[in-house]
Amino acid sequence: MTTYLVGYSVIGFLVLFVVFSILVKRKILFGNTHCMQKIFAHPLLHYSLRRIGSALISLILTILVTFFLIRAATPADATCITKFSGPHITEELFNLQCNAWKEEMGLSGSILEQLVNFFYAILPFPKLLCRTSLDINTMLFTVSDCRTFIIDFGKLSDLPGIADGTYVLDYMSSRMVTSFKIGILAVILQLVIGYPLGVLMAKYKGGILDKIGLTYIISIDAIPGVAYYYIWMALLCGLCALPYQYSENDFVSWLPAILTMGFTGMAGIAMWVRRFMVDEFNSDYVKFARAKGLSENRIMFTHILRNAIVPLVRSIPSAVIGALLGTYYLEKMYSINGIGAALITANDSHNTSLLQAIVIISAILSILAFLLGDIVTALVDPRVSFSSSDS
Amino acid sequence: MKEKNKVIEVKDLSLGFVTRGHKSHVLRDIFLDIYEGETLAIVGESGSGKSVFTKTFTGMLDSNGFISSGSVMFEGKDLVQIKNNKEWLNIRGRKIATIFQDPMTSLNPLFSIGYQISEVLRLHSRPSKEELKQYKEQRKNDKLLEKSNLQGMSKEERKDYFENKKIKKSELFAKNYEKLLNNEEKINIFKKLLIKYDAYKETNYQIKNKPHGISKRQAKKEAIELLKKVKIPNAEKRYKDYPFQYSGGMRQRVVIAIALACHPKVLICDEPTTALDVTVQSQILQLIKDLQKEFNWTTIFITHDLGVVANIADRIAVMYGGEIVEYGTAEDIFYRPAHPYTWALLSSLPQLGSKDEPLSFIPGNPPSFAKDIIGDPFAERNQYALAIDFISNPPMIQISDTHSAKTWLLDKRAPKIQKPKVILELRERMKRAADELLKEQGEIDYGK
Repeated sequence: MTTYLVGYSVIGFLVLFVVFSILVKRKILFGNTHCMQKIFAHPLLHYSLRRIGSALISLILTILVTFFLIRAATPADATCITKFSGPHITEELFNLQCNAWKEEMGLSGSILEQLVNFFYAILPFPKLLCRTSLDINTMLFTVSDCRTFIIDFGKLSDLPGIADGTYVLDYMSSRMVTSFKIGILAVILQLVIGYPLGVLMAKYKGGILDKIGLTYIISIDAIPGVAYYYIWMALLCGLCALPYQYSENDFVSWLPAILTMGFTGMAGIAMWVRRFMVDEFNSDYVKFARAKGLSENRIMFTHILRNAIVPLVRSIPSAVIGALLGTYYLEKMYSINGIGAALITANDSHNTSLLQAIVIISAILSILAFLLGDIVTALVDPRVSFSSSDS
Repeated sequence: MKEKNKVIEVKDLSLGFVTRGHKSHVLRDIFLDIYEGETLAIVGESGSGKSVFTKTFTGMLDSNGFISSGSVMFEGKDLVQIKNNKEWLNIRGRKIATIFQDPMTSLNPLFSIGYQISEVLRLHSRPSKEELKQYKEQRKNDKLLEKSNLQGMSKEERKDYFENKKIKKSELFAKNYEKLLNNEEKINIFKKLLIKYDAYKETNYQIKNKPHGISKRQAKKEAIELLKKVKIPNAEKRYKDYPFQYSGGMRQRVVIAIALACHPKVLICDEPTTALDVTVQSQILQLIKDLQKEFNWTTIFITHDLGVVANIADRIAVMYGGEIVEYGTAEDIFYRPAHPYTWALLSSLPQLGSKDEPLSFIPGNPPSFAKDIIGDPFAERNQYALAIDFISNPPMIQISDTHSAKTWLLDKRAPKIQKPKVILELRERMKRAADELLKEQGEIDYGK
């Protein structure tokens, strides 16, 4: 009941908001109210709406392409044969089981029917879903675990260690949360170390810190990723005696993965911050700022940093959002139950619903990351304008 | 000419750069006095060291530059001896401000015009460290005094004392608040809160007698005043704009406003009009001239455009090859030039040429600083060069009280030389050029 209430009210509010802001922008409503115009006709808002609108088209295209590709690659009937045929199974029983399974997985009916069903399932409004299973002995369908979902990504089958018919959303969300916990902490670590390191390296260019930092950055660049992951593993777990195995409730066991990710990712950030700042050093406005009588620190931390950061902030939202998708290799190394390996597992086990869910989610996330990157850039750079050519 | 106070006194200044381990001498033995309130133009071709020369006044030499000898006296201080950037901060911007050549890139593209002006205003209004130190000591004493006073009082007297203090504070606050409120035109709730905060701060400062810089709000007001002063239309609205929303001429006006915000004694204009088109050029020059009259600073104008110089300068110093080869009042230089280089410069002004004779130019290139120069640096390009020019560098020879030139031609032993035709006819030619210009403008107006 609450899911229905919240779901519908959120959807209703969003639709109303979009319609209202478009009406205000067109000056049909509140055409003369300065305050309302300022908030609801803000160029940034309408730019975002336009971007989301056009992103929806590319999202639908992505979904269509993956939908057909997956179905072409793994025909449902072939999976049925490997899954249900056996010496003691009659054709009748086989058909019954296969059809029930297809129904459950959303693979029954013609391909167009499937497509319509699929789009209905992923439309974001509340719907009640249940797990049905066929008991071969009693030949009865049992219905269990009925819940309301806003988006239905289907159910799992044939995934090692996971019961058939588990909701994809359950599987993904628990794993995504795990990945995100590690990932976001690593991203924070990268930013918190990377930016100040880059700034300091630029400030004391040619100094000891700069030399150490450059050496580190170059070695991170030169050594292949897998190798330095293991170097860090040896350092952190071998030398510092941190646990090799990730466990959910022990924060110390998260550290190796976080530190490995953080320390390697920070190198790139520090390098670019340093580079952009050094580039700005010789620009005319810095000379003029000096002539104005500003102190070196003030020039450094307000004028130069602000300019150097513009090309860098775009990547921050995508780094944060990227943390949701996890990393394959690190999660495997420290046996973290994350989402990083999900795509590969899904592909190996021909898991249609999981594959589709991952593709859709990563598409949405990357579209969102791009949009947020643009918005953040616009916030720090006044030269970027969002208004279309008419205004 | 009246006796004037010297602002900057340059004595025997020599300067060099180290590039790839090689020392090159860029400025050699420069003597120059700069007087209060005058406009001095430093003229010379590119690479003659004119920018580098003025950079020594503000300590903005590149890191590979070094001053090998001499002194630059400013307010009784030798600027050459300053090595510490912190000491420079007391002079650079606060007393000697600089305007650079390219207004397009002089302003930080990511900060609003208003911010960049008020930043300077706030910076220069901030109390110095000594003042703060003094304040701290005084505050300490005040507190001790208050404590001893309180000890002598009875309980009720103390109560009264604190009550009085409170009342005084609230009265002061009310007064400040009203004053700040009256300054604003439009008032809403947020603004009221901000003003209240400002008034509160101001009251605290007044009670504690603490030296303090101006508030953001006040800085904004002053900045808008400055923008109006440099004739930017709609200053209140343009305050929030960013540099990319301004045209080139407007940006140079903003740069001048920033220089104004420094309240400098000396303003160095490093080719301020080179990047602007001609009509805007004259506006900017006029603006600098007007403001100079109002604020009575000293302007040092660096340029290679003699047209600009004629327009604005009281005195002119001609630089060549890292030396000042001639200096004098504008009249001295334009009507009685003495150095062959100045002759060559003046003769090559296209405005002064006549249609039937080829435009004259100076053959060759300016000397390279990589090698040590023997003799007069201009000798190789000088058609009037004497044999001694290739052997020995001429001394500065005084012609009149205001006028000196560095050439052997002025020596008693030198042969008499016929000056170039253009120089001899300079007065007539200038007049003719001016007439032609006026006629041309008249024709254009008529054509419209």
